[in-house]
Amino acid sequence: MGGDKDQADDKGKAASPTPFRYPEVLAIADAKKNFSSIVRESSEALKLYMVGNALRREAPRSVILGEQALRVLLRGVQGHPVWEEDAEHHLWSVEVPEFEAVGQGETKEEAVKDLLWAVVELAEDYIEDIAFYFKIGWQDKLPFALAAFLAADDPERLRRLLGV
Amino acid sequence: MPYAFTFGDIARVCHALGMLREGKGQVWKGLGHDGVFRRLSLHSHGAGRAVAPGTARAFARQLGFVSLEAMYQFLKELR
Repeated sequence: MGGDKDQADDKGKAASPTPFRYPEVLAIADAKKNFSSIVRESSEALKLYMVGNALRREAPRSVILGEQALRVLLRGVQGHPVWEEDAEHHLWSVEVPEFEAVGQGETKEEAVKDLLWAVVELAEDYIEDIAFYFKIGWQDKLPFALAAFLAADDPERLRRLLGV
Repeated sequence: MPYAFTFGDIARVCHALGMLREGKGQVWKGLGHDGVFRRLSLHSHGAGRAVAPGTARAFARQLGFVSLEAMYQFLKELR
């Protein structure tokens, strides 16, 4: 009897449309109830959680991911600054095309400081209003916005990200 | 021909394009009469200060102008 059951199970597996197991989706109510442990496990044990509406399965879901894992995901994000000197007015411009951010100053260092300011401001605005930036076609700049947002409190890290 | 802009000029262009400065920051955003959403991060340095050519070109591109000349003509019509 047991053998028949195993065979039936194997047949069931073979008929499955995909060999992958779908991730378990945590219901919002359960996530709410266990939020502190979810935050601890995602940040410290690098566990990823997917949270969704249990009643509306087609509704968009959310992913809870620790900062450490997010930093790894964003490792490849890198700016390539373009410099230009206006000798007549003694002004330097620096633009990071990947994020369409620009800074200027009377020296290169002043231009970099201006650029850092612009990038942080823009990243904060992007994170606060992602829907707007998606509307203007900036979806591909989300990784840069996230990387800049995470580096905003560390000028050296931000400089490395921007390549200045 | 070189085109000279001040930060005040750029703010004026932004305003004419239906953009508003958001909150405490210096990010201008908005929907223009042409139906195009725009945004610009503009650290003004003072309205009368000159915008370096490289900076002006970047601003023009980000605002959707095909060239510095096009932005200059747009500004001239506002005056």
